[in-house]
Amino acid sequence: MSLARLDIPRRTRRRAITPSRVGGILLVALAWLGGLICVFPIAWTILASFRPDSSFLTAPFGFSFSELSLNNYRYAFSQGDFGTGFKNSVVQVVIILITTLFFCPLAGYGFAKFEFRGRQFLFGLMMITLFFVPITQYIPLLIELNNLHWIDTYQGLVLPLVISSFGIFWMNGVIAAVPNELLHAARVDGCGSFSTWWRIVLPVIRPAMVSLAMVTFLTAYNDYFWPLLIVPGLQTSQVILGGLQTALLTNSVTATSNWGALLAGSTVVFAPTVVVFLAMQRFFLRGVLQGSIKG
Amino acid sequence: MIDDQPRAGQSAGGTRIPPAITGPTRLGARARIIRGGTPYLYIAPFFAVFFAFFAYPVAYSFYVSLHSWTGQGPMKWVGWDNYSFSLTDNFFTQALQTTGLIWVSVPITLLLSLVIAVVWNQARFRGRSVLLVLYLLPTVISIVAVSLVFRILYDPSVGPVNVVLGWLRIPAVNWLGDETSARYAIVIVRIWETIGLGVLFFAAALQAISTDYYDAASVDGSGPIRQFWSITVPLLSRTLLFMMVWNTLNALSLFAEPQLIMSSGGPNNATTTVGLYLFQKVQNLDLGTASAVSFLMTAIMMVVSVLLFLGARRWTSD
Repeated sequence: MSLARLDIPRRTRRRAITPSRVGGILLVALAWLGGLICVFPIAWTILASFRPDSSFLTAPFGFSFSELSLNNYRYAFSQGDFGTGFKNSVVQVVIILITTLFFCPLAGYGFAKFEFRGRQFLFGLMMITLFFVPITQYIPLLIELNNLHWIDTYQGLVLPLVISSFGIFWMNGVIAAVPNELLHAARVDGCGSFSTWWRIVLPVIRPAMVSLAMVTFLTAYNDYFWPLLIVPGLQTSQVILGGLQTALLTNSVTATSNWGALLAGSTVVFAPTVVVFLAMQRFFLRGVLQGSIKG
Repeated sequence: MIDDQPRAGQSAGGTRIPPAITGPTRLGARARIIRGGTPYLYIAPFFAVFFAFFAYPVAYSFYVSLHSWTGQGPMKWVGWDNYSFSLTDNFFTQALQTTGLIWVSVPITLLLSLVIAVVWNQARFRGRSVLLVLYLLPTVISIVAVSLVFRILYDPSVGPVNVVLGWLRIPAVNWLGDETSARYAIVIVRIWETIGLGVLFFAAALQAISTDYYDAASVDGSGPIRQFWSITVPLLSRTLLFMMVWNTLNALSLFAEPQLIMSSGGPNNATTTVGLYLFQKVQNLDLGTASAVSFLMTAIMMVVSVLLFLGARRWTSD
């Protein structure tokens, strides 16, 4: 099956199987309704972050242009050091992105295109890590890194996360679908196995790499509990937001007047992910759809 | 460590460049000398991280799980006591039940996302990728932001959720205060967070299914619902199994939502999951019990995954 056919078709060639057109339209309408419900909390948060607490707490769906202001943002920025948070987040995300995008396809290539002793065993060993979800790894890692005096250091924050087994598993599937003839041709032309990977495999799997980059960015940037445990002093933007939450929150919504600032802080923290995702969504979707050819 | 990597031009054009120039000489040379050894070099970085930050700490953690330890000072040998303590602890067994209850979000999410993906794949309408993006947006928002937002959305008196329910003449629900409602609240958040990836992966898998199956079925006179169960679902069994296992692992290790939205698993521990139970043991520096619980959790996840695989095999061979 050619790759081009797997791109999201602008206009699908498939015939709707629903015999009644009305039923089909109804299903599509319901699908859109579900989509709007999914976006509602995000859209509401962004809008409410520009409204005064007193206003969005009494009339959650009210709206007038005159009440919009940046006061919530000013207060949020005065209470939490988002500048430092973003700086640390950038360091964390950039390092993890570079290492993941280099080493995951490399290891995936090793597993997918070579026959060697212990391949099955090593692949299985890697897959086992997927059963150890992050929370069960936190304690052992924390104890180890504490002994290394890596608390509050960048290496403690990023080194355990530089290569993900999920990324290798994914890239392994994608690279396995790259035709062997392509690799043989490169070998005949005198490419070593590494330059075959660099010059042939990587360009071919670029769409899937974009998706891997997207997922890695989101996972690294949105991580909250690991930075909280390992770099309590050196805060990422998620930790800053968490701190703001503990500082400004009381249990009852109506008892506090700080909700506006919290919503503003949330918007600031999730804005990069939403913007990057919206900017990259076409490439991201294409990459995931390419990955499906292995199935 | 990154600077050692090659910076050769990315163009995969027709010009033939000797390997010695494209890659660092060290790698290039080795690739030719020990042909069979090259793949080990490619997977070595992962296994370096694997042994340093996975195998070693996990082994050490097993050692800790047989001791009573607060992270400082000497460890006290207790044997399997931490395991037997957890398994008989009422809070742990209650947490297991809660986790099982919240797990129902997994099949609900899978069924919903599958139906949406089928509609997305088969109906012709404008802006199809926009619809995918709408469903995916919740997955990109961080858990801290999500929990903050849902705490206010769920607020019993002023929260928008109850306001909308009021319009529909449904009585207000005490989402954060009532034990049963709080669990539903977590289930709803989980569905909201995970439905997008379900829709995406099913949509991707559906693209690969030939329309011939459906054309043949239509000729045979079977309706859309029958086609869904007898063509779509079986052909997607691998994706379904993968999503089932993956979402189940995530659901069983769930702890951030109850921790942040429900203020540490409230009300009355009704939303304390196994993951949160573990997190609280870490916070209390009861590292022996925490290590034991993390091994119990991993064991449960492996057993459940194996059961799912076996179930899927039996189901697909029918």
